[in-house]
Amino acid sequence: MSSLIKAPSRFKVPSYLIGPILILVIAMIYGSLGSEYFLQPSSIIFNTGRYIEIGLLALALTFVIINGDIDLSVASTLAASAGVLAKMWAAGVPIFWCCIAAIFTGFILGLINGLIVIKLGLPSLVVTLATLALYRGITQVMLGDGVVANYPENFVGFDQRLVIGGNPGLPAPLALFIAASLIFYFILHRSNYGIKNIMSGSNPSSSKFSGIDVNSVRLTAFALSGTVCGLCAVMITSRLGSTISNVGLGLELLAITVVVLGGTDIFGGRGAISGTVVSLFAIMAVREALVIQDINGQVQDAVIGLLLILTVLVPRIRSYYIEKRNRKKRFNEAQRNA
Amino acid sequence: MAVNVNSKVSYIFKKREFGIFLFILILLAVFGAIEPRFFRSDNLSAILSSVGILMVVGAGQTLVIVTRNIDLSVGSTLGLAAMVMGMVARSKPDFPIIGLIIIAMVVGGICGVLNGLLVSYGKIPSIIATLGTLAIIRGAVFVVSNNVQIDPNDVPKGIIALSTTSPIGIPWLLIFAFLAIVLVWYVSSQTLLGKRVYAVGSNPEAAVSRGLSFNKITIMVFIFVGVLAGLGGVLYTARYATINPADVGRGLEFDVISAVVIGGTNIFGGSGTALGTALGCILIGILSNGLTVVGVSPFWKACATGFLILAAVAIDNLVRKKQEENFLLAIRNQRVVK
Amino acid sequence: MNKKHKALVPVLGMSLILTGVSASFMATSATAATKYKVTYIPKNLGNPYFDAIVNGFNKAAKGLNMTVKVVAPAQAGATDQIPFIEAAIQQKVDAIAISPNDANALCPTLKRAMKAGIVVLTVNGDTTAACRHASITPVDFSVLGKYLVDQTASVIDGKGEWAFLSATSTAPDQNAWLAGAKTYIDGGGQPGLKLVATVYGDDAPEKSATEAQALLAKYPNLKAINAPTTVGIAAAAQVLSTSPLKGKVQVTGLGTPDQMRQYVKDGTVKAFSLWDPGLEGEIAANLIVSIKAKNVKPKAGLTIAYKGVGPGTWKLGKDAVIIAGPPQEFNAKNIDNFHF
Repeated sequence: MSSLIKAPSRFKVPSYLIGPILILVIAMIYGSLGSEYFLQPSSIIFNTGRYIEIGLLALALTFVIINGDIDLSVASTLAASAGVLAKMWAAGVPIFWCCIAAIFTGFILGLINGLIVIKLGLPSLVVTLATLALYRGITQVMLGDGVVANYPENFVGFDQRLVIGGNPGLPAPLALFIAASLIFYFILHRSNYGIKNIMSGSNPSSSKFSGIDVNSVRLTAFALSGTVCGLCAVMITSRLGSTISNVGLGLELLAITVVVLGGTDIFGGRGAISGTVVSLFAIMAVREALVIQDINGQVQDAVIGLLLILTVLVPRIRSYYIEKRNRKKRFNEAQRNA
Repeated sequence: MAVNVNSKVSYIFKKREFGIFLFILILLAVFGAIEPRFFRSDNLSAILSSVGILMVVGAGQTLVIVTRNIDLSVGSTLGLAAMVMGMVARSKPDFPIIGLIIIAMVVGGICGVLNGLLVSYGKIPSIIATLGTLAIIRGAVFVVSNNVQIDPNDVPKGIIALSTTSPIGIPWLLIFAFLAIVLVWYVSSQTLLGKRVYAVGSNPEAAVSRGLSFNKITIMVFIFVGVLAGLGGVLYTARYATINPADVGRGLEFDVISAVVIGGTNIFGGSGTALGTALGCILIGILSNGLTVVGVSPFWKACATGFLILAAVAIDNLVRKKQEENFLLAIRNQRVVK
Repeated sequence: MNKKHKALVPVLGMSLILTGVSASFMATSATAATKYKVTYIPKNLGNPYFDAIVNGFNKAAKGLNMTVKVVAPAQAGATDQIPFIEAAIQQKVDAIAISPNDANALCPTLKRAMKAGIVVLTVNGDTTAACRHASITPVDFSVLGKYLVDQTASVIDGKGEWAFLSATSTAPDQNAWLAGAKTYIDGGGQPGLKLVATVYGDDAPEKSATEAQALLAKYPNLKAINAPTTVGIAAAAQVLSTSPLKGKVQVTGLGTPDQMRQYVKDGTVKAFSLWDPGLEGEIAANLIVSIKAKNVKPKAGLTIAYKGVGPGTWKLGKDAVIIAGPPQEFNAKNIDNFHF
């Protein structure tokens, strides 16, 4: 930690990363002091899967939120995609094509969100609040009170596979997440589309006048978000080995929390993939440090809620005091000069 | 817009709820045609009493959204208020009913102060601050109650009676709902404070530069919604009698926000009316009861709800655009005549 | 750099406070050294039904040199229990007892627990048989469907229309009972009754009440609502207790006496049922010790006997299922003898 603070000035840690990094470090220390069972390699391997699903949703949501929109329907889109996967598998379609269909379903549902938002000119918050119910409803219509299980052996348990090296190695979901983060990083921060995305989020009307097709940028972000939901549907089905209609219920708030904690401006125009990535690991460390010490669910939620507020509040307090001190200094100097 | 006393503007303003009103009429006609028993008096009064709780909280939320903010913590606030009140009633069965109501409203108000301070002086975007307090206050419900629920025979008869009787025949629950709506209508259209609230919402920079205290108004609206959520906690207890730490008010924020935006309040602030919110609440109440009454399968219900909310918002949007067009046309014609 | 350093102070301070707060939570979970470490994971916290099971666990644990830790998610979502199972595996507990929120989704995690040498029992609800060593169910699930139909018949004298108000459409126990009831009805059971609808209140009071009210409006000849869920039955009873139909439409099903006492006394509810949930906890605690200390292998046909616990002996059914005890009916006469 100290090396981080005294880092040479040419490598400066961006301000939005300080909070998540501190949370991550403190949670690690707290977890290791509190329980000898924290930080076992096995725990990292077994536990990453379910966080990575949230992380992928958060990565896609970063694009939507930077754009000035929001997608509350991610968990329901995921459920509908998982429903399609389950229905097709139950009908005897090979699992590979079921997965492709699930991802495609996510893409279509995301596209529908975007089209409604753009064509009808409605706020995305309102539209996706409605499709949150609608897509979950479609899942319930598809699956009813039934369960689809008995997926093939080679499909189930993706989250427990290791890539690169034997035991201990890199868990497959983590590898996927690293790859996805890199891809998203290049799209957002190094590609033409990413620049358009950030610009149209920070000032839609001036972007429009400088020749950016804001609507198509927004539509792309929604479709991307949907597609990632489809991918997560495949992952969650593989992890759980079964599908029911309430799969992924409530994931949207977890994913939005990750994005916001990572410093992305909820009103758009500002944000970074690195923030979302670090924030995911910070939240993972906090949750794991708490659960290993037998702390119940709602206390965990409350701690995350508190951290969310603190990460925004503390820098504000800090800048307030710096500002005050500077003003005082200026005032003193002015007096001295006089 | 609402504060402008120009007769033409207020003409549109009056007509703004027309779209949603039309939609409710159509829905009533369809439900009634399929199942005339939908119109039985006890069914209608049951719809109204579930709508009543929504209206009380929704009335407050309207003002919050008008100021470009949002309060996601209303469900948890309602829960904490109900729980504290229930615990007082359990330990002191003779406690006066009016005292219990005041306790609940004070607890709600304190939650509101917390939210208000975070958003105003803390400068945290309200969606983030209240996403955090949503979890923190829910955690408080569990800590305060020690995970033990309040059973119906610990709830005073006088509280239960609020949902069934009053001196003038209509249940107190509905009187409170009506008063909350009228209060918001009165404050927003008849008082200086209301004008300030709308001014801050439609153009914060301009409002501040004209000398309005942004922070004071923000804190005020959050206290207002908190107190009303506290009252909602009383009404919840009156209606459902059991106060379970996990269940009380869970997910209420989704229904309330849906009702407010269906009612035509602009999610980006500046405009919105109490009457619109009341209609939005009624629409949601009619939907959740009516779909079961006309025999829609439980698996299709969520689907139908999502679709109809989307349809309501779209129709409302269409009607409003048309009205604005006509208004602009009228102005232009006038100018031509001149 | 100095500036930055100072800026970090408040952040660190806040974090330290937070650590202190969390540490105080931790202190309560510190345990004395006992021979058996058991983690029990109910569906969610704050549910009086599962508190009764916990009491049963604690009662039995005293004499068994056992520590029982209770941890639960905030909500009863299908996968919300997984982090707690994972934590128990990492903590190398001796046994995990769980009231599963989903029959299949927990399987991969529970299987990993079994592979790690942990005894896995399901309590009050079951997963697929391969994912646990034994299951303790309150009553015979295949018989409970019939029981609910007969119970409905008894409160409305065997004639009339009735409806189910269930919890969620994905709850494994509810679905098993509903299916049992339908099989019984299709086989000619209680011919005077007509099941007109099955609705879901999602175990939320608001939704349960709305659904109950909609049933009353839609079916003018409705005589009874059977809600085999503690949230649903209380919500339906509350709706009826303030409705002109009070007494004309009966509410019955499964609920806890404390929650329903009010409605039995004011005449809204004639009778409802439940079993002793604590018994499940007691059996589970004893069975864990049997498996660990005496190397008992739970399988169909095995008989287990625990002195001073309920009826005393149980015979394991198909898939190592233990049926704790018969349902108990509560009515105006006996309800004051029960407190849970």
